[in-house]
Amino acid sequence: MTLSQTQLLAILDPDPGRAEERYVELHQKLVRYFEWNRAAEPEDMAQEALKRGFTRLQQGQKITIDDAAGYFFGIARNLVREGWTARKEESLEDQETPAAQPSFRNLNPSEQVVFLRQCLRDLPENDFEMLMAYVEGNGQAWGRKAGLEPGTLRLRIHRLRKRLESMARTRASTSVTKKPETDGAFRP
Amino acid sequence: MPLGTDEQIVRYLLDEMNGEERSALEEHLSREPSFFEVIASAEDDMIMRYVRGDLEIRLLPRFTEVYLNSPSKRARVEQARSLQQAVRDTARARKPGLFSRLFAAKSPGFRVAMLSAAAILVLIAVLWPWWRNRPFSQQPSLQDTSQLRVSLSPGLVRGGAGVQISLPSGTRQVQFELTLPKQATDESYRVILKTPEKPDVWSGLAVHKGLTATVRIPANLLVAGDYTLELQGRGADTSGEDIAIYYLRVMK
Repeated sequence: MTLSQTQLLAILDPDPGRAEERYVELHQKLVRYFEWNRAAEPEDMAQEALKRGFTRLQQGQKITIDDAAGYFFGIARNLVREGWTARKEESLEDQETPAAQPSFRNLNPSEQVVFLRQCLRDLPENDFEMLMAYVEGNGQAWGRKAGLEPGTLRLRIHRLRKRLESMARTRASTSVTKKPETDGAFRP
Repeated sequence: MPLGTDEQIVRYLLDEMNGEERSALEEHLSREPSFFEVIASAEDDMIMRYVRGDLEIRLLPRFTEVYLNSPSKRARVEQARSLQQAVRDTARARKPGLFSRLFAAKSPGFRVAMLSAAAILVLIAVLWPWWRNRPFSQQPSLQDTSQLRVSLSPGLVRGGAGVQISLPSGTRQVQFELTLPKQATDESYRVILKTPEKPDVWSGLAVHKGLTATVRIPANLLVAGDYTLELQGRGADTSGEDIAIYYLRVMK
């Protein structure tokens, strides 16, 4: 029996809408993982990891850990070990329809600033102050005042940045009609 | 040794771990995917410190090698710069104006006092040009406070990031006095200011006197970060040739 895309994505979240978001997030995490491993083509490798993972699930493999991301990190690790490199012609033919969603990183720096500024305007005062302290190098003092450990503050900032970039990406996709680049994610 | 200390994560990100350590850390990531956020947040933090010019000098050479030679990692550095720029722009826009702050004050007495002070300031602003242009008025010299002089020698100092300078507010120009290497014999030189990401922030001619070449660079080009000043010859045999490189870090 062949599993549908929704059934496959359900391993990330039972709710189809949230599963889609988790999928995009997983793709971004894998890209970053391959960057840490100094891969020449992190985007291609992330696609390959997702493709392998979902193919195995389609073939009946079960995920035994709580967070499915760990399963994909395991596959990613094997790809690095085996020195996998993209074969462009093949991957283009095999590729399923990618989501036409502009990536924040593919915007040029001035566009990034414009969209970020728009999103920052809507940020609650406290979050903005935290971000301001962080970019100006006063994060630790701000954290002490707020009773936050440095690691906790760093995580909060990281999540806030992710949220901002996601908001900016949404704005970019609604305001820019023609964007040549996509996030290139393999779709199960 | 526990996994995931800041020091370990930085070594992982800068690819300074041996195979065994790296493998253990990645194994931990597969078993505990929430660890991803810990690494990613440490990476964000390290990049932002670099962008601010706060990254520890001992980490700088390796950071430059790993992060600025990879297009995807360079994009993350650019992203951090964009965020910094956007936050600063927004902070300026969010800052309420003087008058709105005055009218927002709760105590009527305080409001009157502040409005009187504001009126005096407006009066000074109106009368200042007239006073300044009086026939006997002496123009105050801005020369001394608006220009910073920095002496640089070629190459890296111990620690690897060059000379560190801070620009006092109001600095308009930085005068660099570059010690020439012994073999430099040209009459004049060209200086190119670069960052690891921008190959040509500024270029101009240096005035050669004795064993130094002097060049003045607008201070507004020197935002926090790492720079190189490349000294090129302009003689018949040395035109366009690198004579010396000077390293510099501008602190915020």
